Amino acid sequence: MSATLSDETLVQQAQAGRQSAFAMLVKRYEQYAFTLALRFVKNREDAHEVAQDSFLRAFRYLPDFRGDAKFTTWLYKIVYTTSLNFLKKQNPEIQSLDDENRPIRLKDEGVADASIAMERQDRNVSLQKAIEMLSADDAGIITLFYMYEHSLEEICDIMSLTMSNAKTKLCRARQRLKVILEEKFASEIA
Amino acid sequence: MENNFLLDDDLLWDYADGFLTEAEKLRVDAYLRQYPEWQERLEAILAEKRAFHATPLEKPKPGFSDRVMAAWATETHANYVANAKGKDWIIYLISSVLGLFICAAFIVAGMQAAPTNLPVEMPKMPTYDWSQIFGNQILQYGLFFLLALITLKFVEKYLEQQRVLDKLKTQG
Repeated sequence: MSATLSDETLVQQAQAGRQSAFAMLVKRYEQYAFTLALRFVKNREDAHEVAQDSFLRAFRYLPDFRGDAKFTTWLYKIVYTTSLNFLKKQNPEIQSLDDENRPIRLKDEGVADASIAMERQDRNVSLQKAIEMLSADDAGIITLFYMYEHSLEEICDIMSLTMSNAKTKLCRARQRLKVILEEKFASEIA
Repeated sequence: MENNFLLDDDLLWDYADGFLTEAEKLRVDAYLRQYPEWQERLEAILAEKRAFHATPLEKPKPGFSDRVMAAWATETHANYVANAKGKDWIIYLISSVLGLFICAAFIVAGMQAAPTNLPVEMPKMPTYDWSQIFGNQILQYGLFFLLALITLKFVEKYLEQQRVLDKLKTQG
């Protein structure tokens, strides 16, 4: 039944106090929220915590959701904010996930991951691993734009960016991803 | 085709992502028609975009959504308990008033039932004619009204608690 009901309907039902409707929304978006959280916090355990926290926040603030934006945009904004708060708690010096001046981080484990990916001969796995190796901000914007197919306007809303800033970030993230793919996964993407 | 127009990878990505204006798009279209190698590059970019979209989502541990709902039920219950604790004084006040009322009723009843003709002469005690107070019709109705109000308040609190408990049970 959950597949046939739209997000809007489920949100309205959840706002009216029907918990099963919210449970359906959680089920529908658990993988999206978890993947996005993982892109930001880079650790599965932490991503579980952040994703769960995000859904609880969404539940708490659902009565305030007026449907001006899509439910997913609103939810991913919560995931982004929760991830940022989580990372700030771990490192109080972090102000944003922006890493304009940070060099591309190529983890050593990527080599092992690359060999696994090579064995599988799976381009998608390589791409996934390469995205994981990006910084939080880059991985987030790539995931939202290319994987979840959100518009740039929606990404601006989610990540609190200006349009030109979002465009620049997306372009930079793509360039960094290209470098990683060429350096670490050249054989798979050839 | 303008001579100074040069296509690069970023511009082609912007073209594929739909970021270009109509005029820019037309220029790129013309450039692509003129240089087939750039058309191939565009095909590669579109394939990469499809690959992005086909990238599998990460799966959380099994039972993730159940844990979220259980955490929500716990939070709701904790909130209810916290709110209920804040209103404990109402219960205590109602209980005290009821207790005092019952005590007063017993005292009055005891005084009325006390024997008037005792075999021995008892020292005279100073007495007060309570009937002056309790015999007052307005006061009697007032007390009855107060008792009814307190009882209704109790019933309301009880039903509210039952409703919350039922809700928590269905969530669980």
